[in-house]
Amino acid sequence: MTSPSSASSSGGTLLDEAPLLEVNNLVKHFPIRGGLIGRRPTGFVQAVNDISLTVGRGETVALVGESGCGKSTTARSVLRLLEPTSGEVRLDGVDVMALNQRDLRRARRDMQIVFQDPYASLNPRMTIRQTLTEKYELFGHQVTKSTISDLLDTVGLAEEYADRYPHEFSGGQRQRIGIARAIALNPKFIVLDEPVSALDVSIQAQIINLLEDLQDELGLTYLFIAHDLSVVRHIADRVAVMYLGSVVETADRDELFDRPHHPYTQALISAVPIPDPRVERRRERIVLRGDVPNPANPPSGCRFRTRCWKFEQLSETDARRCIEEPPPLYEIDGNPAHQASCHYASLRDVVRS
Amino acid sequence: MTTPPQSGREPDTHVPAEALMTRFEAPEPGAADATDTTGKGKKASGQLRDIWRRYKRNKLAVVGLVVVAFLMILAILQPWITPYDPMEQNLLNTRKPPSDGHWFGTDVLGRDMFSAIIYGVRLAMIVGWSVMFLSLIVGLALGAVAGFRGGALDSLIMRVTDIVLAFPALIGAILVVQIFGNGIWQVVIALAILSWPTAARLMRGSTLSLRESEYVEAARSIGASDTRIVTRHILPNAIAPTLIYSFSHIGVAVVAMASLAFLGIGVPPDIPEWGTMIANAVPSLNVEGESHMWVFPSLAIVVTTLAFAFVADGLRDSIDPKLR
Repeated sequence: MTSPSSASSSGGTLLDEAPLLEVNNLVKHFPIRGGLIGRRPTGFVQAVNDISLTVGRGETVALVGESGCGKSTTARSVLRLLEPTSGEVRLDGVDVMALNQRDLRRARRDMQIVFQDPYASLNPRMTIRQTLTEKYELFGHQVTKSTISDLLDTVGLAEEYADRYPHEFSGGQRQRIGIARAIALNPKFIVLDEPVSALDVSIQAQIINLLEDLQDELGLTYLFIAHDLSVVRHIADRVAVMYLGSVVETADRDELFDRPHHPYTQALISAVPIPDPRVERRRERIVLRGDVPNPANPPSGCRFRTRCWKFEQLSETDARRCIEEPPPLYEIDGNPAHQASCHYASLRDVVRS
Repeated sequence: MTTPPQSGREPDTHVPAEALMTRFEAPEPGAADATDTTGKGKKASGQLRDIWRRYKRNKLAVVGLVVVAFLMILAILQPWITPYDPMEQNLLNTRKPPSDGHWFGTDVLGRDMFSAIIYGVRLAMIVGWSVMFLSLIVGLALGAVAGFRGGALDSLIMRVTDIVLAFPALIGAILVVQIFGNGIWQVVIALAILSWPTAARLMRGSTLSLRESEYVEAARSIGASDTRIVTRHILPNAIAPTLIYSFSHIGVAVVAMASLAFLGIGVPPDIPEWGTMIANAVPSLNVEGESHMWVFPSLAIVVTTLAFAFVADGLRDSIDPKLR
């Protein structure tokens, strides 16, 4: 029940083995500066609030949530592309937070990222060969003629593309180039920051399959950021659901999709369309009202309560607990791999395909 | 899952916006798709060829380029072209209208106007290009640093540009020349001091927007240093507006030098400079038969400035079509 079903195909995750990536109490606050000579921040956007994550070797952990919930900020903070406010990040035993700029640059070899927008993530004035060669040079590697062609071959592009500029490629092809840049020099860990959400649906599948193949071939570990649950369901071993800067529920993939406990997760899963019209018609959707609250001024207690469908049904005394007491991550049914941060977490029948 | 009818790996339906633009503008076949589909384009020449293809379409810019090239040749070959020493006076032959011996006539001191005008071309080219390179280099460096670093350094640099830009251009130039004394290089420095702030601001603006771009973040993610990010990733993508500004400023510099010289400031009065020549011709403005004394230097200024303006215009359209 606890071991992800696809773990065997992706190199095997042993429970007692130390995780490749360990994130503890990660916090990222952006200061809001106001006023004319505003040097002193007048407030903080609490983009990432006390997030803890572990990603096992060869595993794919998906981070899902609606836009603006802090998924990308979390990923960038883990990689220190954004400097986190506080927290601990360990990658294969290396304390990433303690590295100085020089060592950090060297350590980037092991932690890579594929960006969401393949149109923006490639330098328009550099050919593909220049873009890819740059990485080898930066890490002091000799580039022979076959280096780049082998790399392009790995991501399914022909070598003759190497001397073209990014604008000569389609979105899917560019994303392959972005992936090639990330997997060059065999990193241990790759953040996939919504790598397919800017692509055509027909091409999404190709890229997802490519990512899965590469994971099998190279033993890669992924942190997959997405808002598309059907993609997550396909690729992830474990899923963490984020809302307003915090993880609200985390579980193995099948467990999460079959037995979601947090009202937000339940709402998200109920929104996934089902490709069977008969089931689709019976599907009961939980529609969340209102917008995500301002992360500079989040609600007290449970951050989700302002939009929670369950909160509305609670008695006044029960509801007070949601207002006053921020819910910790509760273990669900004694399963340490399944946690939800809701005082009143319970199973709810969700119609799914 | 339904498979699309195409059997290829990926239907390449993406047409770059640039290509679309050219298709609408230039219906001639072949020109529309110089972004070759066969992959035979050489490394860097591909972009240059694209720029030239767009540049060619602007006929005025091509004319401007020819004139600029011609002026450059005149400037370089001046010592061998001029029939007389441009400084040589002949007090027995003053204010003579154009003739076989003196194509553009002679001035108040009997100097050959043709030789003086060509010498003026040399001056204009030296000053124009020097001002451009100086202000471009200073502007790029300070603008990139201000935009990339931000913070106190950014504020400092931007306040300095504010101060310099607060001076009316000519008054500022007069002030600087008064401080450094007369001379060609003093004029160059004065004009460069007055023109780098705009270049720096343009560069800062482009840098600011590119600093947050994903490919800069991507460069950082593969361990690139700040210096490398600025020089390899930001500069090539941010340089176009600044470059075009600096280039269009060449004509402005030429006019500014002439204006200063007209007022008797900057270039020493014994050196034949277009502004000085016009100033010398002021008493002859309404004298019949002496109009050549102000017509030719004025024409020289107009032709030079227009040529550079046309080229700058063409460059703007061809280097970066988005700037239009």
